Order: sequence, then structure tokens, then C-alpha cells
Amino acid sequence: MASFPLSLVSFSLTFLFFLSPALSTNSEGNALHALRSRFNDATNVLQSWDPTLVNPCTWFHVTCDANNHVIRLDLGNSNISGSLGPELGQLKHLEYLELYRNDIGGKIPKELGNLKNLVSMDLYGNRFEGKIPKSFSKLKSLRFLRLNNNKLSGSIPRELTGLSNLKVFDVSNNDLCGTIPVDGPFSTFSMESFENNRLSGPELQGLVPYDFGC
Amino acid sequence: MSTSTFYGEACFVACIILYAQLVSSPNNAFASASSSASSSEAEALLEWKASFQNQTQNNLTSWTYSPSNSTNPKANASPCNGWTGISCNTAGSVNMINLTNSGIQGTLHELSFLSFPNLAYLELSFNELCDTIPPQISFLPKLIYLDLSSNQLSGQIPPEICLLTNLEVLHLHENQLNGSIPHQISQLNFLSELALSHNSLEGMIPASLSNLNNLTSLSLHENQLSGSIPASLGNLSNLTTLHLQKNQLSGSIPPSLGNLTKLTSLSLYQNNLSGTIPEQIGNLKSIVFLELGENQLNGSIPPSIGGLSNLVSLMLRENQLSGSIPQEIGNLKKLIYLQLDTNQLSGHLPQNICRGGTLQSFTAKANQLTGPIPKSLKMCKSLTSVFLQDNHLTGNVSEVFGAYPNLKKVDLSHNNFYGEISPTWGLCPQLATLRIVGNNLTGSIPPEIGNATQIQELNLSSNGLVGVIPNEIGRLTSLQRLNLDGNQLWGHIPSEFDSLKDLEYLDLSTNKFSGSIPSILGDFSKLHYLNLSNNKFSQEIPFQLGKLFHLSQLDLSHNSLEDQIPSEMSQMQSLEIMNLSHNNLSGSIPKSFEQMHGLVQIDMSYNQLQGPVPNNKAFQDAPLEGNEGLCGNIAGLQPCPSMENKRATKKDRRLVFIIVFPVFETLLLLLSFLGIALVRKKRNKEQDT
Repeated sequence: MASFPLSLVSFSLTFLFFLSPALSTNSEGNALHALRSRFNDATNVLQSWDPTLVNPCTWFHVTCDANNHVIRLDLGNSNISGSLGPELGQLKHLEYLELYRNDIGGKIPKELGNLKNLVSMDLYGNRFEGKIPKSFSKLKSLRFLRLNNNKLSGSIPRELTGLSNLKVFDVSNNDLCGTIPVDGPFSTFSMESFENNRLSGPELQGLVPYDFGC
Repeated sequence: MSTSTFYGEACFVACIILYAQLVSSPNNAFASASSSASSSEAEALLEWKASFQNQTQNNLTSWTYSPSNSTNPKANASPCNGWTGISCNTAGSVNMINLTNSGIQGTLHELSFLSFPNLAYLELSFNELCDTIPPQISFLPKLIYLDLSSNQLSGQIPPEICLLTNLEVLHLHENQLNGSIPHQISQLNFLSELALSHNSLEGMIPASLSNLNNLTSLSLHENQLSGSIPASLGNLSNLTTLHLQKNQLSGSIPPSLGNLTKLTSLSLYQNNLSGTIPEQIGNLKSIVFLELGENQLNGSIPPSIGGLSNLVSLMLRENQLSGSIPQEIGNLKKLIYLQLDTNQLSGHLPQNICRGGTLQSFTAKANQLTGPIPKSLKMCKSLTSVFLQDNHLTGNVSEVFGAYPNLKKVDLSHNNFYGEISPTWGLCPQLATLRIVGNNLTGSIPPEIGNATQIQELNLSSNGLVGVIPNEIGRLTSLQRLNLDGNQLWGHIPSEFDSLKDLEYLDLSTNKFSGSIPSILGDFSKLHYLNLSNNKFSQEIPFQLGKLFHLSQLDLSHNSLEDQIPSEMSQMQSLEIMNLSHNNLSGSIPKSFEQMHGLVQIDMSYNQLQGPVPNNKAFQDAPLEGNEGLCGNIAGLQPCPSMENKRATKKDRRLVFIIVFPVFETLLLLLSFLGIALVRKKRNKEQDT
């Protein structure tokens, strides 16, 4: 009695087994593949992202180093919507994360803080919301952080003052509140980096609580 | 054979012992005293449901006692009447539970297995069941199908499972099961499918699994299994699928596997297998997928592989295979995927490759192959990707390739190809990547290449190409990476480049390009790398380059660029590395470069620059020699005269305070003493008279 559904199931499972060996063994490729599934790719810029390949190094908009580790993701201005996911944090060798000027929404995953080799993060010109993750304080190689023109809220994590390599910082045109840190690299950033938010001015150390009014 | 009987008997005895233990265990959940089997089944299901996390109970709202008869609701309770996922036999007893993908968050421990004497089909895959598989699951005497896959079950596979003597399908894959595969599984004589893949199982594959005469599918992949592949698995004559990939199996591939004449899919990749590929592999007449890659297999590829006429995918990459690729591989008429890359294969490519006109993905890169491209590839219309780079292949590359309607990626780099770039590449409408780096190509870039409008990466660097960049390159509007460096190309950058708006990476270095750097390059808003060094570019650096907001690296060195460095270049806010050395740039370095906060490395040596060096940390260690009058507060440079005036206002002020005031004060003091002395003298004189 159960034989028909059984044979149907075993057929479909056998079919699945035929497919499964062909998927890549590469964890970075799998992470990017998972990222792609979160995206709406209106102009098919991710067409070359074939998860059955050995690694993602031949995918367009992906650049690898000599050891076939992903170091650049260049998807700026690419008509992409959707959201990001925690899997991006698995690209341990990533140096350049360029997702600017798209229509990506949702929260910035805290797992991006795991990208300890990251030099440049450009998420500007999207619809990101929620807070700037505190985990960004772990991005010790970061030189460029541009989160401007989004819908980010909450305060600028004070922990970012530890990013001694940070040279370019822009959070303008968001919905941030609280005070502007003044320590570390923050002493070099111009006021334009912070404009069009609800920030209450530079942090007054020792006088008022930091997250005042936020 | 005697070994397997011994195992069989031993397992049978073990099973009896386990059964006795279970029955006497105080944890048994015996059927309740209720009269009808159906109501005890209902009770068991409801008890189980009650143990779930709250939210899942909503999916099973149909699991309830019938409200119509309030006097004795339990008597009317029957799971056979529309309870989700429950089916019954003609006698009204549950024989199927199918709750796949039902959002169940709970365990199996509250399920009273003894209450289901007729359950044949238990399907609970794709839920969030956690904790262990209770050994009491063996109290399902009629169970034929058990699927607990894609949950979060942990712990060991209970050896009591051998009591499910009617079991035909066992799916426990994609969980967190650990421990070894219990050899008691070998007792399940009717088992046709065993899937334990994607767990944390360790230890060896039990050789006694060979007793499972009815087994058609064995999936143990993605675990941490070690030891050898048991040779006895060659006895599983009904096996169609053997998937052991992604484990830590060692030892050789047993030749006895060649006896599996019904096998269609053999996957052993990503293990530590060593030794040679046994020639008996050629006996697998039904094989469709043969995947042995990512091991340490050595020796030659057995020519008998050429007899596997049903082969669709042959994947042997990343091993230490040596010797020649058997010519017989050209006999495989159904071959679609051929992956031989990253081995130590030598000799020539098989001459009749793509004989059946089905070959799509062909990669033999990173070997020591010599000889020509097989003539049969020219008419291979099915090709989608060809990766032959990093070999010693030779031949005239303009003659060996044809027009391919489906070809997307080609890489022939680092071989000994010669001849010209064929215009036929323009007849590949889907071509996205064309790389022929580091060969002996000559002639010029054919304008027909502009017909392949889907090209996103074109890399022809390190050859002997001559001539100009054809205007038709402007038709490649999808181009993202263009490498033409290391050739002898000349002429100007065509104005048609202005349509290459998606360009991210442009390297034209080490050629003989001349003329001015076109201002249209400033419109490449996605460009992150620009290298025009070692050419004969002249005139000024166009200020429009300042629009390259995302440029990370800029190299214009070793050209004949002149005039001033445009201050607009400071708008390149993402620039980290800038090399303008060995040109004829004059004037001063724009002060606005102080705003280029991302700069890490600068080289402006050997120009005719003068004036103050901007106050930017990147200039501290920068090579600046070979200029005329650069000055600044940097080692090796003179301090600036005008800067001294400006800076000296501060210094001067300090000087004023340190030197002038004390002098002034002493003068004052002296004067006052004089004054006092004079007054005293006057008074003395007055007093005297």
C-alpha cells in the first residue's frame, strides 16, 4: 500500500542525490550563494554566480586573491534590492565590501564585524535600518566606512573610536541620535560626515551621559 | 561470507539482548488502560503534542477530541478523522504520520511508540526536533519508512534500531548525530535506502553493511567517517547510489566496487583516499556520475574509464594523478562535465573529445599537458566553459576554436599557444570571460571581438599583440575587467571607450599607447583600479579623473605626462595607492591632496615638481626624489622658504617671546635704573645747593 509513495519518494530523493554531489565544496561560494538568495537582482548582475563551480573566483563582481579567497565584492549601483544576511561574515579575507547605491533594506548584520581584513565598507545609498552594529569595533583594518544615505537609527557606537585605521567616515543623511564621538579617528572627521541626522553634537566627556536623549 | 553470517548472528543476539533490556526498562510508556486502540493512539498523539513548544501547537489544531459528544469525548476521539498528517488503515488504526515541515519544536521522548502497533510510515523531516532518538522507537513493529532528516537530533543512533525488521527506508540525514554508525543497522534485511549524511558521525563504515542485500542507496557523505572504504561494499549488487564524499576516509578505493554494475552515482570526493584508481572502475557499466576529486589518488587514469558509455560527469580534479589522459575518454558520447584539473597529468588531450556533441564543461587546468587542442573541439557546439590554463599546450590558437553558441568562459592562459586572436570569438554570443594571458599571441586585436557584446572580462595581457585597440571594443558595454597590459599595442585609447560604463578594472600598462589620457575615463564610476603605466601617454592628466570616487589604485607612472597635477584629483576619496612617478609633471602638488585621507602609498619621484609637499601622512615615506624644487618638513627635502615664513609666524612668535621680550625687559630695567639714577643725581644736585 505504501509502495507507490515510497517509490515516488525514492525516485525524487535519487534525483536529489544526483544533484547534490555537484554543489560546490567552497564555503565562501556557499556564503555568496546564500547572499544571492536574499537579493532581488533586477538586472541579473549575479547571473554568473554559479554555485556548482569549484570556487566563486570566476564569478563576476567577485575578486579573489592568489589563494582563491574572496577579497572584493563589487556590487555598487547594481539595481539590487532585498537584504543582507549573516553569511557575509564568513568571507574572512574580504577587503572591499562595495554595496553602495542599491535598494537593499533590513538591518546591517552584526556578523559583518567578523571581517577582520576589511579595508572598505560602502553601504551608502540604500535603505538599511536599525543600528550601526557595535561589532564594527572589531574591524581593525577598516579605512573607509560609508553608511550615509540610509535609514539607520540609534547612536554611533562609541566603540568605533578604537578603529585607529579609519580615515573616511560618513554617516550623514540617516536617523542617528545621541552624541558624536570625539576620540581616536573621530577627531579628524569633518562635520559633513554627520549632517542630516538627529545627533545632539559632539560628546561632552565626563559631563553628561553619552547616550543622552537617544 | 562466513564473516557476514557471523556478524548476522552476533547482531541478532545483540538485538535480542537489547530488546530484553528495553522491555524491562522502567521508562517504557505502555499503552493506557483505554479500550480502543484508536483512543490510545489519540492520547499518545495528544500527549506528544502537549510536549511541543507552544507555537507549534497551532499547526496541529485539528488534533483534538471531538466536541460533539460531551458525555464521553474520549470514546469518540479518533485521529483517523481529519487530524493533520495522520492516516489510518481499514481497521481504524494509525499507519502513517506525515508531519514534514510542520514547524514542530520538541523532542521524540514524549511520543509513546508502543501505542502505534500499526505505524508503517513515520515522516517527520524538516522540523526542529531536538534531543536524542529514543531507543523506544524500535517498538514500531510494522515500520517500513522512517524519516527524521533535517532536524536537530543529537546523540548516537540507537543500535536498537535493528529491531525495526521491516524497515525499508531510513533517513536520518542533516542532523547533529554523533558517535559511530552502529553495525546493528546491518540487521535490517529489507533496507533499501540508508541516508545518514550531513551529521557528525565518526568511526569506520561497518563492513557488515554489505549484508544489506536490498540496499539501493547508501549516503554517508558529509560526516567525519574515517578508515577505509570496506571492500565488502562491493557485494551490494543492487546499489545505485554510493555517496561517501566529504569525510576523512583513507586507504585505497577497493577494486571490488567495480562489481556494482547497477551503480549510477559514485561520489568519493573530498576525502583522504590514496592509491590508484582501480581499473575495475571500468566495470561500472551503469555509471552516470563518477566523482573522485579532492583526494590523494596517484597513478594513471585507467583507460577502462573510456568504456563507461553512460558517463555524464567525470570529476577527478585535485589529486596527484599522473601519466596521460587516456585517449579512450574521447569515446564517452554522453559526457557533459569533464574535470581533470589540478593533477600532474602529462601528454596530450584526448583527440576525440566531445565526440557525442554533449560536452559542456571541460577543465584540465593546472597540469603538465602538452600538444595541441583536439580538432574535435572546433565543432563542439555544446561547450559552455573551457579551462585549460597553466599547462604547456601549444598550437595555433586562431585555428582550433570555432563559433560556440553557448560558450560563456574560456581560459587558455599560461600555455605555449601562438598565432592571432581569432575573429570567431565574436561569434560566441554568450561569451562572458575570455582570458588568454601569457602566451605567444601575435597580430592585432580583431574588431570582430566587439560582436561578443556579453563579454565582461577580457584579458589578453602578456602576449606580443600589436596594432591599436579597435573602436569596436566600445561595443562591449558589459565589460568589467579589461587587461591588455604587457603587449606592444600602440595608438590612442579610442573615444568609444566612453560606453564602457561598468568598467571596474582597467590595465593597459606596459604597451606603447600614446596621445592624451581621455577625460571620459572619469565617467567610469565603478572603476577601482586604473593602470596606464609604462606607455607614452602625454599631455596633462585630465581633471575629470577626479570623478573616480571609488578608485583605489592609480598608476600613471613611466609616461610623458606633463603640466600640473589637477587639484580635482583630491576628489578621489577612496584612493589608497597613487603612482605618478617618472613623468614630466610640473608645478606643485595640489594642497587639496591633504584631503585624501585614504592615501597610504604615494610615488611622485622623477618629475619636475616643486613647491611644498601637502601635509598628508602618506607623503612621509613617499619616494619624491628626482624632482626640482619640492620642499617640506620631510626627510630628504629642504624646508620650504615660503612655508618658513608662514610657519615661522608661529616660530617667530615663539622667538619673540623667548628672545625679544627678555631683551626688552632688560632694556626696560636698564632704562629704569638709568632713570632712577638720573633722578637721584638731580635730587642730589638740588640738595647740594
